[in-house]
This record gives sequence, structure tokens and C-alpha cells, in this order.
Amino acid sequence: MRRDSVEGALRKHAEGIEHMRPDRERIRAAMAVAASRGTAAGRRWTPLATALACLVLGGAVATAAMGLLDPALESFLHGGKTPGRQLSGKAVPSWLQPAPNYSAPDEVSVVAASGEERLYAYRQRGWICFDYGHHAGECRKPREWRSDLEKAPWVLRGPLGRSVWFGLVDASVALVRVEYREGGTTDVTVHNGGFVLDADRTRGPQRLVALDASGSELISAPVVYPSR
Amino acid sequence: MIEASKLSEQDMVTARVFRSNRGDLEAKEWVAERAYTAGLRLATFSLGDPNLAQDVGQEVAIRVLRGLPKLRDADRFDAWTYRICAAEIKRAAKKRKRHDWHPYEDVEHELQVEATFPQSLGERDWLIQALAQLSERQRLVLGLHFVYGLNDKEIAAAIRSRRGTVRSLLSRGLARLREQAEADESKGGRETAVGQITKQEAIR
Repeated sequence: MRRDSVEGALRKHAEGIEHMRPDRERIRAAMAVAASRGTAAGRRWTPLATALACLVLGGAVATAAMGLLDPALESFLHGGKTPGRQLSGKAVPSWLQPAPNYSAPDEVSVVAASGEERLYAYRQRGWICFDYGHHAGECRKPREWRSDLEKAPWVLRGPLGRSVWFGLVDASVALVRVEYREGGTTDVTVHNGGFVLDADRTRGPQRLVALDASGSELISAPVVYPSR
Repeated sequence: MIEASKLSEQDMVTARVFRSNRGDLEAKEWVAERAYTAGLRLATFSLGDPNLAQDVGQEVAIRVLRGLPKLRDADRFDAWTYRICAAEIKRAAKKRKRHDWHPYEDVEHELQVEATFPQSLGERDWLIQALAQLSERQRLVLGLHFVYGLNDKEIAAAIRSRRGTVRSLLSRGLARLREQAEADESKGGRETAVGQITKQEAIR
């Protein structure tokens, strides 16, 4: 860098920046986050901001039923806090604890839980990560998660461990059910846009179903165990 | 009634801040966008990382929206927002340092950085490192001057400071960058060295 070219370099540096603008979706997500984190005055905005966030999502998808996300999950995908219960200290899973040569995530939360199984959420270097108990985990870009949730009402992972399914769902899903071969079902409710379904393997899980608040079936998947 | 076209920009800002505090959703969105944009542009200028700048922009917008009801003087909106930007940029820079962040680990991210900045890799690295040596206020004033194209009088009005102070911040900031450039030039090939090191790191 030459001494006399400092101003020129600064001008050049600013060239690409002076027209940068955030997109509307990000602004509305910030509004939603501000309302959810807000003070008493801010809390008055929560219903409006949530409605706005839903409107934004609604515009992004082809149908009104698909693509709307839980506000906590939506805010997380837009850079907000991790959804669900925040963990600290020893409650943070050992593999996410700070260690030499590993930049641990700032925030880790439990999105949903069933028994000892947990669906963890955290952000790492711009990637949105979900860990499925201590079995597996994946990190993807926010738009990749969003794109999957626009194609189907759920993103389903499993069976892991004994017979556990983890998943993220859009706002249309209220309940996830497993139907058993011998009859009967197990239901779990959705929390913060996610669920953990710990099925009873001895009863022969046959089919997984996502249901909306009125009990209508939205999507289903047969249970297939990986061959050994 | 005064026509909108006859209002100064400052009047428009003040009016929207008032309306936002009274519950006008459109005004609130405008306020959020103004704050987000300021954070995004100034952070990109100071940190050289558009991704990180998005985080800063969002955090600035959130802080502004949350703090707006407590802002006593709506005329001071811009100055207050710029102060929040400066603080958030400082926080983001610290966080990046703590996490030993390296921009060349992520190819997609690097392509985005390349698309934002027209200058060479070495020049950009040099600038980001040199800007990091300046004070928060010097960086803010330089950002407002180069990114927003404001002159010293306009900056003084925007950050509610004296014109003399702004001139001094601008000239001292530039002088410090020139000194740094001179020192690096006399050491010889610093620019190239920076570029080579970072590229090697990327390969590893």
C-alpha cells in the first residue's frame, strides 16, 4: 500500500458498500426479534411483529399452509437467539463445550425433548446447526433449512438410537404421531418448531404422521429401519 | 400543513421517530431499515466481512427498536444510531478475534466478500487491519465520509459533534493510515506478504 494511495483505497473500499441495503425479510425478522426480546413497551409489539414475520414467510411460499415457521425458529434462522431453553455451564453437551482449537458456539438451546433425548440448536460461523441427541448432528445454511421446510411441512431425521425421530416442522404442524403395527399410537407436540419422538420399538412402529391443529394429516412417512 | 417535499431530511427522520413511538407500523419499519442499513454499511466498511456486517446490522436494528421509546430527543436519532453502530462494530470485532475467525475457510463466504469489494485481496486486508488500529470515533467518521459521502459539516450534524472535532477526527484518522502505509512500505512488500499468508492459510 502506497502512502499517497490511502484515500483512493478507502474510496474503492467504500464503492461496493454505499449501495448495500438489507432485504425486507431481514428487517422484519429484526423487528420480530426486538419485540420478542423487548421491554414492556416492546412487548406490546409482539403480536404485530409476529404477524408481520408470518406475513413475510407467507409471501415467500406458494401456498399459505406451507413455509410458515414458528416465530422462535424463524428468528433463529434470521440471526436471532437460539430457539427454546438456553443452556449454560455443565448443561451444555460435552461436545459443544469450549476446548482448545475449537470455537464453541455462543449459545446452545434445547428446542424439544423427550425422555433423555434432546434436540439441540446452535449457530456456528453463520451455519445453523441441530444436534440430534448424542447420535448425530448437522449444520447447514439458513436458506437450506428454509428451502427444505418450504418443500415439505417437516424435516425428519431418524430412526436414531433406540427408535427416536427428530425433526423440524413448519407452523402448520401441531402434532407428530407414530402408529404401531399392533395398534395404538404415540403423539408428541411440537415445541419451538421442532420435536423429538421416542417411539416404543417393541410395538413395531409402522408409520409417522404430521397432523395440524384440527387433527388432519399433513404428511406421513413409513418407518424403515436401516438394514444391518 | 407542510408538504412532505418541503420538510428537511432531519424533519422527516424526527417525524418518523415520533410516529414509530406512537405505534405506526410503517414508521417503525422505516426506523428499523435506517438503523439496519447504517449498521450494515458501516460494519462492512470497518470489518470487511458482509456476513458479519449483517449480524451487526440486525443487532443495531434490534437495539434501536428496543431503545427508541426511551430516546428523549428524536432529533438525535441518527447520532444515537451511529453510536450504537460504533459499539456493535467494536463488539463484533472483539468476538471475531476471540473466535480466531478466518475469512478464507469458507469458499462461499469468500466469494461473497470478493463480490462486495472491488480492490485486491492484499489491499483489502491491509485496510481492514489498518482501520482496526483507529479509534471507534475515527472509524465512524471515516465510514460516514467515505461510505455516505458526507462532508465534515454534515457529519458534525449527523453525530451531533462540533465541526472542528470532526475535522480533527478525519484528518488524524487519515494521517494514521498514511503513517501505517509508509511504515509498511518502508518494511517492503507488506501488502504482498499479507495476501500470501492468508492464501496459504486458506489452502491448509
